[in-house]
Order: sequence, then structure tokens, then C-alpha cells
Amino acid sequence: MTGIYLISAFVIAGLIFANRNSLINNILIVIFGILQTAFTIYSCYHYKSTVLEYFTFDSLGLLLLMTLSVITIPALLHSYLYIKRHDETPSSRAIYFAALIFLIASITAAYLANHIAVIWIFTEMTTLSASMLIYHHRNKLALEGTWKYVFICAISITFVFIGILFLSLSLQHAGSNDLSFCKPDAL
Amino acid sequence: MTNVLLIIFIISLLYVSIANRIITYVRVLALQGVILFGVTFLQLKDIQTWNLVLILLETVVFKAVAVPMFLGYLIKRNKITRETEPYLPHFISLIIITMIVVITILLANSIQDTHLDKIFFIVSLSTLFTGLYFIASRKKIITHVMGYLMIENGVFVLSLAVGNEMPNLVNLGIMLDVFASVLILGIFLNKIGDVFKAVDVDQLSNLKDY
Repeated sequence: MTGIYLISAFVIAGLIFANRNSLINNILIVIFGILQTAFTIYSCYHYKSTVLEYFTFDSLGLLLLMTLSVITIPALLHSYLYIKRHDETPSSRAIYFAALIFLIASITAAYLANHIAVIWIFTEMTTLSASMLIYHHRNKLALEGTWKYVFICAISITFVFIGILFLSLSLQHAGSNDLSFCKPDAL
Repeated sequence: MTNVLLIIFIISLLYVSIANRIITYVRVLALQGVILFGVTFLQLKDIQTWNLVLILLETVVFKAVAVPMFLGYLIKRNKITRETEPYLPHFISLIIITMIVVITILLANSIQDTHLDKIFFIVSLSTLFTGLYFIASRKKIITHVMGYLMIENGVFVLSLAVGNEMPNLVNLGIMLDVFASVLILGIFLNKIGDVFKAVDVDQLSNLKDY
């Protein structure tokens, strides 16, 4: 189900990005909202199980995932109203919703991942999609904000990587080289 | 041989600190890419072929050819002036970077770690702090980007220090490089040069809370 969720979320984002019709756009957004809710309910019923080797439905992940799914519905609704009242062009609307769905799916995957490198990859993806959202209005101020956001996030994510490297060094002292923090039998 | 390459890497940092032209920075970045490939080739002994091909692509093709060409194109397209315009004189920059290297050596000597190769640690940390210093002390946005690329080189050296045990971390580091460089350089190419006429950081100060 996790694989299905991730693939279909990215497929929906791609379809929204390619599509210019407003009715199909709205249908796809509703489908994503249903998918997110269904996945949250599914993960509640599979508490403490590990899927696809790198994703575990642990307590903290579930708590954050439920919060995210509760916020997702009003966020999608608000985005729909915002885009409708501002007379956006079809292409800017497509980019906005594709980036929003990409962001929500990456955050979901980052919450559930049990390996520190996988979390790091999905955090990078949130940076990418959030910078697309910041650049929505495409004027001078938006460009300035995007530049500052991207630069600070890129440097900070580099420092996160340095932290992972030092962590792996100190793990070698303990005689291990396993960077996942959620062994299935330790739960 | 690895030590010689890494020492050349440190010398290139000192050279950059007194360089006056932006094109020198670009050339030094290309040189650092080639040095990184040499170090990787000598350091990672038991490595699969496809992994080596990936590292070759990233260091030589991407770091030593593509990014410098792209930076040169940016400088021409946006008509960026030749000087680097530091806030401090070059002489003080040289002293500060020498201090950084010396302090890193002292720090590395105080760490007792059998798994950590000392010279890799020294080179990566001093490159990292030098990159941060360049970001803080230069006026143009493009020199900020170059300081960031230098930090990435430092992280790459650090990931090589643990690379024999965990080759996946080297691959992750490569992913970081490609992702962030494409993102930052893409924004820089497409927009900033068109919208802001003179590309100094002083221009990026309009964003405020109202």
C-alpha cells in the first residue's frame, strides 16, 4: 500500500502538471485527498509493521501522519478557493497543485521512513517542491524569497549530510554500520 | 599519492583567497573536480564498475567540465564584472584561511579516532569553513554560489573518508551535489540575472514583514 500510495501520488502530481482542464484538475485533487485519508486509515490498522524495507508505521510517524492528513484537507480546499479567486492561468495553477501534492507526499514518506538516509532524500524533495510553491507569483519579491529559501535550505541540508557522515563514523566504533533506527524486532 | 593530491587541494584554497578575478574561481573549481576524481580513484579500492562510472561522471564530467562551462556562460550572459569585490583585503583573507587550516589541524590532532583518516578530516573541514568564509565575505551572488560549490567539494572529501565502509553514502553525496547545483544554478541562470540588473547581495533586501 505504501508503494501504491507513493506511485499514485506522484502520478497524480504528474497528471495535474500536464493537464489544463479545470474540471479534471479538481477531480484529481479530490482523488488525492481521498488517497491521503485512505492511506492514513490503512497505516493506523498496520501499526508497527514494516513495509518496503524502509518504511515503518511507528508511533511518532503515525501521530505526525494523522496531523498532516487532517491539515491536508483544509489546505487543498483553501488552495482551490485561492486559485479560483485570483484568476490564475491554467499553467500556473497546474504547477501550484502539482508542487503541493508532491510536497504532501514527500512529507508523508519522510514521516514514515525508518532509515536516516531515506529521510534525508525525502527532505530534499520537500525543499524542491516548497521552492516551487514560494515562486508561485513570479515577481521580484517572490524571486528574492525563493533565492534565500533555496540557498539556506541547500546549505543546511549539506550540514545534515555532514551530520549523517559523523554519525556513521561513530557507529563504526560501536561495531555496526546500520543507519536505520527502527529494527522490526526491536519495536 | 593521495596525500599529495589532498595537499594540492588545500593549496588551491589559499590560491582562491588571493584571487582577484571571478574566472580564477571557476578554474580552481574545475581543478578541484579533477583532484577529487584522483582521490576517489586511489582511495576506494574494492568498488564496483558502475559505481566507479557514476563517480567519474560526477567528478570529471559534472564538476570539472559542465559546472565551470555553465558558470562561464552565466558570467557572460549576465555581464558580471570581473572583480570578486571582497569586503576585506586579499591579504586578510589569506591570513584568515591560513588560520582556518591551522585550527583544523589542531582540532584533528586532538581527536583520537582510529576509523577517521586525519588528512581527509583536515581537508574537508578546512574546505567547508573556507566556503562559508567566501559566502560571508564576497559581495556578488555568483561568488556565493561558488562558495557553496566549494562546501560541496569538502563534503565529498569527507564522504570519501568513510566511503570504503559505506559506498552508499558516497552515492548519496553525489545525489546532493547534482540536486543542489542544478537547483541553485538553474534559478540563477533563469531569473536572477534578468530581474536584478546588478547582481549584488545588497539588492536582495526588499523582503520584509509589513
